[in-house]
Amino acid sequence: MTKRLLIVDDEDDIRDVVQVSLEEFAGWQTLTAASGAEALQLAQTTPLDAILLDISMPDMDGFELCTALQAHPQTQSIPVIVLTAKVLQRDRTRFAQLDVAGIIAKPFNPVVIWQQVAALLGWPQ
Amino acid sequence: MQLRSHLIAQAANLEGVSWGLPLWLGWGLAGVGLLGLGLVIGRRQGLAVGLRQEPIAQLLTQPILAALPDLIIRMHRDGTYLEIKSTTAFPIKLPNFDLGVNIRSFMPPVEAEQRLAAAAAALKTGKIQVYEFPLVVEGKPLWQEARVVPLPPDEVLVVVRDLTQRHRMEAALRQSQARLSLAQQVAQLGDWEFDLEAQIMTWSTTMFYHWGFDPAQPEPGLAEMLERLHVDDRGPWQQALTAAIAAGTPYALDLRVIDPSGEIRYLDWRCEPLLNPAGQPIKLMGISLEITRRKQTEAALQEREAMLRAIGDNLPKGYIYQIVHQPDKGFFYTYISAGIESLLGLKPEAVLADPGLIRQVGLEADLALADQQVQRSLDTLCPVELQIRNRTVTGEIQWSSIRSVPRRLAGGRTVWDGLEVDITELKRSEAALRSSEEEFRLAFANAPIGISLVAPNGQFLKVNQGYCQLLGYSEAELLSLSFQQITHPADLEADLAGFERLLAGEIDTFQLEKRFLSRQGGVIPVAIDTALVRDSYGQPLYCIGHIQDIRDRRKVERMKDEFISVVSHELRTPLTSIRGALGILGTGVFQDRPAQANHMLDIAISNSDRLVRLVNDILSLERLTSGKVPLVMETCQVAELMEQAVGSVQAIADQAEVALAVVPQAALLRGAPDALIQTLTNLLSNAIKFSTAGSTVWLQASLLTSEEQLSSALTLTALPTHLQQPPLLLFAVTDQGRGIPADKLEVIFEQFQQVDASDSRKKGGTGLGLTICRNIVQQHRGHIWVSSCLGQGSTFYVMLPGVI
Repeated sequence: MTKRLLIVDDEDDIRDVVQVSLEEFAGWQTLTAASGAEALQLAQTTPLDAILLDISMPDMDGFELCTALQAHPQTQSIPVIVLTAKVLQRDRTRFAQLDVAGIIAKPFNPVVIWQQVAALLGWPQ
Repeated sequence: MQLRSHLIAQAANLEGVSWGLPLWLGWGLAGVGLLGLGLVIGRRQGLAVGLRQEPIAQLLTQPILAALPDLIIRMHRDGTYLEIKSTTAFPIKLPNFDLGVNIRSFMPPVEAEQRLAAAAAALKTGKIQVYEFPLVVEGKPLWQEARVVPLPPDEVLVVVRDLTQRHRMEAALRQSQARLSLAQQVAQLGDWEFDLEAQIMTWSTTMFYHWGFDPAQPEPGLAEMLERLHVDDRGPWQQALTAAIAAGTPYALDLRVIDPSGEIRYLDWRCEPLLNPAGQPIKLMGISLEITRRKQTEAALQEREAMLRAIGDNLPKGYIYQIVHQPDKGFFYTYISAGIESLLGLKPEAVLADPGLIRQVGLEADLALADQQVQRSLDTLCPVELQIRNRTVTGEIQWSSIRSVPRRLAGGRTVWDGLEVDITELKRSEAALRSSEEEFRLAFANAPIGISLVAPNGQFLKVNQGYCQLLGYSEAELLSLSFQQITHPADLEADLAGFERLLAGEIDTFQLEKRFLSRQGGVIPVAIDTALVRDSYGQPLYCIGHIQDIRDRRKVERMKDEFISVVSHELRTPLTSIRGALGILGTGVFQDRPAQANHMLDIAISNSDRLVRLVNDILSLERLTSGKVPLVMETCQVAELMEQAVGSVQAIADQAEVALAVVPQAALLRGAPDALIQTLTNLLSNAIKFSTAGSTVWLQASLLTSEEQLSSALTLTALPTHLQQPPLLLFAVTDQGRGIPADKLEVIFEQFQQVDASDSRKKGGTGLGLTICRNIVQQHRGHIWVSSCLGQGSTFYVMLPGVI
C-alpha cells in the first residue's frame, strides 16, 4: 500500500522539491503544509504514515508542532522525521529531546531522500 | 739526684781538710751533723786507748764540746746515766737527774727500750745509731735527733740535738717548693740548669711536659732536645747556646718544640749563665714558659687584623673606620680602609690628615642630622645609625648607611668603630618596592576585575572593590564569608577539587568557570584564575584569585552561536532549494514535462539570487563591523545621493506598482556616498516590499539648522548628545504598508530579526538589511530609528551630522 507523508515547511520551494522527490522517486503520496497550524489540522484529519517536519517556522515552529502531535491521541503515533537546516551541535542537543524517528539535514540529495526516510522508518526500499 | 750526690762527695772531701767550727757553719745543716760525728769519732778513735785510765767526766767537759748546742749524755748500756753535758742553747730544760739514775725509772717503757736497743746495737756493731723522736714540751711539738756513739765495752755517748727548728724550716721549704711547683705548673713555667763542668742537665717536671718527654725518665741530652726543636729554630738556639757557654751571654728565644704527636708547642726560653769569680760560666740556668696559646692568640689576632683590613679594603662600595674624639683635639680618624676612595672619591690618607674633607661630599641637610647624632652618641654613648646622602664626583646623589659604636677610653677620649656602605641600590630598590606596592595596591583596588586573597580554609582575607561590586556584598560582609558559602552548589565540587589540588602542590594555578551567588540572590557566572602563595617554608599562605564577570562574554558567545546558527540556516535554506531543484532536473525525470522542469529551474534561479544577496549582505556587514575597511568620507551632494538611491529601486517600485515621491535637499554632507546610497536603497527597498500596489513611498531629506527644527525632530526619538546641535540632516523614508508592531521597533535592526520570518522568502530580504543600515549610520556618528503605526505604515529616519 502506498505510503502517505505530510511535508511541513514554510519555504514554498523546499516543499515543492521534497514533494517532487518523494512522489517521483519513491512513488509515495504527499501532502504539504506551510505552517505548524496547517500541519496539525491535516494530521488530525488525514491518515498519515509519516511527517517530514521543518524546525524553523513562524508562529509554530517544529518543536511546538512535535509536542502538539505527541499530545494528541490521533497523531501521537505518527512517526516524525525532522528535515532541518539547523545542524549545529547546539541544535542537535535540542533535537535529542524530541521523540522523533530521525533527522535529515538540509540540503539533501533529492534522488535518495526517500531512501533515507524509508531507512529511518524501517520501510522496505 | 746526681747533683745532690755531687754535693755529698764534696762534703766528704772537705771532712779531712779542716776541723774548724766556721767551716761547719759554711755548710748546711746536714754537714754539721756529719762533721760533728767525724769529730766525736776522731776523738773517740784517738782516745780509745786512754779512756779507761781517764775519768769519764773529763770527756764531756772538754771545751770544744761545750761549744756544741747539743745535749750529750754518757750512758751505761743498761740505761744508767753516767755523765750529762747540757747547754743553754738546748731548748729543753732537762729534769734534775742524778747521775746513776736509770732511764727505766723515768721513761715510758717503750721509749726506754728504744734507747737501750740503740745502745746495744751501737756497742754490738761499733757504728753510730741515729734515731729521731718527738717530744711534747709545754704543749709544743719538738723534734729531737739522738746519735748513739759506742764507747766499748759497755758505754755509749748519746748526742741529742734539737731538730725542731730544722723540721720547721724543712716543712716551710716543702710548702714553698710545693707552692712554687704549683705556681710553675699553673703558669706552665719550667726551670732548668745545665752544669757546664759536669755536663749535667737538671729539669723541673714542667720542662718534661714542655718538650714532650716522660718525666719518669732522666733529662734528655742536647741532641735529643735538638731533634724536638723546629728545624728553623735549631740554628738560632745553637748559636745562642754556644755564646752562653763560651762567653756567658744570656739569651731569650721563642722556640717551637714539636712533640711526638706532631703538635707545635711554643716556648719562651730564657737562659742566664752563672759565672765564677773569674767571670767564666760554670752553669746555665733558665726558665721555660709555654706560650703556645699566646702565640696562637697572636697569630689569630694577626690573622683577624689582616682579615679585618682585607674586609675593610675590599668592602664593595664601603669602608670601615675608627674615629676618635679627644676633648682637647676634637675629632680625628685613626683608621680608614681603602674602600673610601671608591665610595667617596677620597684617599684614606688624605682624610686621615684632614677629617674635614669628608664633610665636603655630604649634603648640608644630612650633615646637620649627622652632627646631631654624633653629639648625642658622644654624650650618651649610644650607637650612631645614619642614612645620609653624598654627592659623588660625577655629581650624582649617592646614599650611604653609617653605623658606628662608641667606646669611652681613658682621658675622656671616645672612639667609634664604624662602617659606611653604599645603599644607593637599596634605596632605589626600596623606592621601586614602594612604587610597586603602591602600584599593586592601586591595581588591586581599582582593577576592573574582582581580586581576592583567600585563606587556605576558603575564608576571604582581602577583596577589592571590583569583587564587592560584582557580587553585591560590602567588603566587611565578604570578609566574614568563605568562597564556599557564595559558590553555586552545583559548581562547588569542581571548585573545591581544584582548590585542594592547588593546596597539595599538584598544580600551580587553576582556572575555572563557575557561578557565584550574589547578595541579592542572583547567579553571576565568572571565570576564576587562582594561584597559591606560599611562605618561605613552603606552607600555603593564601590564594590570590581573579574573578571576571563573564556575563557579557557569555552573551557575546550566545550571540555568536546564534549568528552562526542563523547564518548557517539562512545559507542552507536557499541551497536546499537549489540543490533539490537541480538534483531533480539532473535525473531527467521532467524531460518530458517542461512545465515542471521550468518550475524547478525557477526555484534554482530565484534561490541562487537569494543566496547571492545573502552572501553580499553578510560580507557587507562583516566589512562594516570588523572595521578593516573603514568608510572613506568625502563631500557629497545630498540630492545626488537621493537620486541614485531612488534610481536603483525604481524598477522594483514599478514592478510592485508603488509610486516613489522624492523631496530632495540641496545640501552638502560629509559622508561615504556609496554607503549612504546603500542605506537609502535598503530603506526604500524595504518600504516598496511592504507596500501594496498603488501606494506611495516617500523619500525626504530635511536640513535642521535651527533649535526649533531640531526640537521638533527630538520629539520623534531620543537623540545622542552629539546629535543635539544643528546643523543636522534628516532623511525620512515613509511607506503606507502594514506597519511594525511596537515590540519589533528596536529588534528589527538586529541581524535576522525580521518582523515575520517568512519575509526573507516572500519579500526577498536577507534579514541583514537594517543591520547594515544601522552600522553605516553609526559610522557616520548618526542615528537611525523607526516610527510606525500598524496598518498605516512606517517611517524610517536617519539623522546625520556632517552638514557642510
